[in-house]
Amino acid sequence: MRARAAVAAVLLVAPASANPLGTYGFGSREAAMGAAVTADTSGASATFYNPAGLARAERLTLELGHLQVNQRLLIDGRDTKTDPVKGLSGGVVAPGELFRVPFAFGLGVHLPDDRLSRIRTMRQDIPRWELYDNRAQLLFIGAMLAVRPARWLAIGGGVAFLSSTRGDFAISGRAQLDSPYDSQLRHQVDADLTTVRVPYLGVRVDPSDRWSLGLSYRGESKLDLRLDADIKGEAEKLGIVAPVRYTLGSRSFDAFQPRQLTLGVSTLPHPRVRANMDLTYVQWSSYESATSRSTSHLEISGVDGVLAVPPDTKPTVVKDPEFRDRVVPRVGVEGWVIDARVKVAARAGYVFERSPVPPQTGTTNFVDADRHTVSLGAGVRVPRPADVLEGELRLDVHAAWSFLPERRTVKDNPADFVGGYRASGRQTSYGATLGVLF
Amino acid sequence: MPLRPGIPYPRRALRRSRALLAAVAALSVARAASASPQDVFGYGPRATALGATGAASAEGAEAAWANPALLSLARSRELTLGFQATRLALRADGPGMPGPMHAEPSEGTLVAAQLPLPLKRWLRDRIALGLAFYAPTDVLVRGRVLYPETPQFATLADRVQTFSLQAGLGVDLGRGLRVGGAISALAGIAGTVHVATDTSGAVGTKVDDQLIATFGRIVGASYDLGDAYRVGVTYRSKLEARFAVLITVRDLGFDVPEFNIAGLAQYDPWQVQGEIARVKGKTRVAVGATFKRWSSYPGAPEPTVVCPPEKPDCLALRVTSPGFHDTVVPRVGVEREVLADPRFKLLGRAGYFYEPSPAPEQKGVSNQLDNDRHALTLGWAVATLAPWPEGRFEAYFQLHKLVPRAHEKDMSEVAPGAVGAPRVETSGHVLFGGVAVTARF
Repeated sequence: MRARAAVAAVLLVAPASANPLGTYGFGSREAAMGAAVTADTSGASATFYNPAGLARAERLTLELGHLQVNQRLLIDGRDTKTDPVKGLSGGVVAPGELFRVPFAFGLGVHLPDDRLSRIRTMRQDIPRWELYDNRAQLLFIGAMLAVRPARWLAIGGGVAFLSSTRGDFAISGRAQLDSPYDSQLRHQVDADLTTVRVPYLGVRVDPSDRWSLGLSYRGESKLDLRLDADIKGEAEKLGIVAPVRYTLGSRSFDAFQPRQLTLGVSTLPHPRVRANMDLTYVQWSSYESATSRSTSHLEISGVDGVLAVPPDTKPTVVKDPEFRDRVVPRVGVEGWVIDARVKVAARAGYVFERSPVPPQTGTTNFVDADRHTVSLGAGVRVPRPADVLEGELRLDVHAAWSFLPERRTVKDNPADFVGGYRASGRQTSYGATLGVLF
Repeated sequence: MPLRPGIPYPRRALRRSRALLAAVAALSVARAASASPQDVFGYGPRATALGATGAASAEGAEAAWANPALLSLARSRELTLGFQATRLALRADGPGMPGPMHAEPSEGTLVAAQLPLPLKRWLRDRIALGLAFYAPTDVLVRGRVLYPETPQFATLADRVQTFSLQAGLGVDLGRGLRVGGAISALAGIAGTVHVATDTSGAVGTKVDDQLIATFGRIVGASYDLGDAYRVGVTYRSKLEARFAVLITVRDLGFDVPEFNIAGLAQYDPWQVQGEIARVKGKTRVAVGATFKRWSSYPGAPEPTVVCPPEKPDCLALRVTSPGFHDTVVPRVGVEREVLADPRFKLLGRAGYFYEPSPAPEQKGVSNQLDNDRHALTLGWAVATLAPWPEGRFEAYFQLHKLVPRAHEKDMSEVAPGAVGAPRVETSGHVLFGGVAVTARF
């Protein structure tokens, strides 16, 4: 009667989780520069890359953009049909002074087109692109504050909000095994979307007009699901009614977001050229598998010869994924062509992300590969575009191509149920961001 | 919300009569008509202290909920940070009733921003944005579906523990006319679950879970009647967050229906709030009323088992309406400048509203309890002026007194010994309060 497991499975309804912005970028300018902007960001994107940058904003800023990512991730040459990523990004930055100290409030949002988040927990033996399958389907809301106590120093911080699911539920009534849809069942649920707050901190130092340094920290988040079920009722088959009780406990983690520390530098080697570099330490070693840990127990009597009651299923044994920490280098350049009326920029960037996933020689199948990303972009700045607007109108566009070179997996056990496989892929992303500075 | 069985097969009906009676008696499903805390208390330090008025009198970012048109009154950037808490003391007395009802306290943080757009010439001081955010400390959305016989306060217990987010824009059209709009957001869950055993024979599940955003619309308008008076009207569409998880199980050797674990986690009825206010002078007054379309409340979760298209008349339990009715909530609020100094002002606030219960008398097995409420509201504010840093410190408080109510069970429908039979009496009170700091920058 694995039906009990089915009922249990509702408990695994998983959380909303981490955000896709670290993978594909937040804001077209930032994405075009390989997201190497920790020491060089001041708009709504600063809520994600370095909240200290908000204090560099000089005008009330509204931004709205769209991002589209198409993925072709292959296993043994077959497309795994990983969902595309589409969503609106933007935010508000409001600078001002508080106690005569420059101060700014920023709100950054990434809102996926189809849903706020999508989580798919799977059995750990099913091959799955662990970092790109559902991690890209996530909401980001960050609320940040920043101050600039000295001309050369800015400090910022805030929280990003995520949500997980927890709950208890019960089903009771009479199940008709001969005619299931005549079952007189009802359910009771106590389910919550719980608040998860992730800390973001940042510092920016400007030792001169040509150099900037940035340091940002993003906290770790993992969403802990603790769920319990109690199913009581009766089962009827061939006119025999038997009391049934089924209890289940489940615990799982999902949507892991590793702790990250980024050091960035930005320089102006020429008055019209900016060059940036970031190094991000990503603590993937703390990763915990999204596979649920379940225990269950069934009590049913009086059905000998009528119904074959299977023994309790074995509790799930979740393997330690043993992911590895990594350091991600990012570089970006930006060149400006300044006209009396309009400023135009060209941008490029590169990122290398070594896979944190170890060789999958055992029963688990977390699929991943190294990732090289090349990005290009352009931007236009139009000062005082209308009589009513003294600020600036900004439009940035970008495109990026990610290459995941082939990685071969060979199993230690030649009789492994899944066996070895090859994984490779490509991702193409593009987007645009419109900004208004008042 | 009770469920009723589908059209029975005559032969089976006889065989299962005992089970069916039990089902009718007990196997109905109910849930609280959970809604957002701003619908229960109002939003913002000022409006909640003024009887949850605001359609004509709101100021600052809290106008995003009360009336987005009034955001256009903003002339400076403001950021508000606050903390608020709720305590419920509810009673249900009668056979099988617990007496004091357990209701978890709730706390949360309030963040709001008022951002006038610094446009020039003919758009100067005309347009402003407002962001109004409340996040409970622990829970974003609470979804509780309890068995109907379980005593539960239908419109109170879980309603005050819900995340809320409003973002609005107000425009001053001139000649005293303002219009505005906002969106209000909640989150729900939709998903599917497929169960199987993995290659080692252990329980394995494939879950596809999606967090879905649901949005409500807020539209408002106001008109100045001379310098001192203003009328305002606000429409808020219904705002509901649903959870729905469909569980499918195959290859068991026998058929198991899909389990539809579904229901409404939160529900605000659509509503219209009208108000007239004196908005100038040392004493300011707002008087209004809110019409709430509770009769549209669908109430129930979906049935646990949904009849398939090829068998639409299966015996699975089905949903019926909870029978809620529309309500009108009268409100009044008064603000008085108690003390004025060139550097600061002290403001006192008070208000009252009467919230009739939309829930009918519980004559059957259900115990979805609810009472009319008298709400007394109080608050004060210290506003600092230049040369001091401009801002406000505000405190606000509400006491909701539940009007005692009795539910007489119809003993022709309810089995003797059922929970609450023959009579349930309910009463209680709700305390709500908070503090907030607003900085102008």
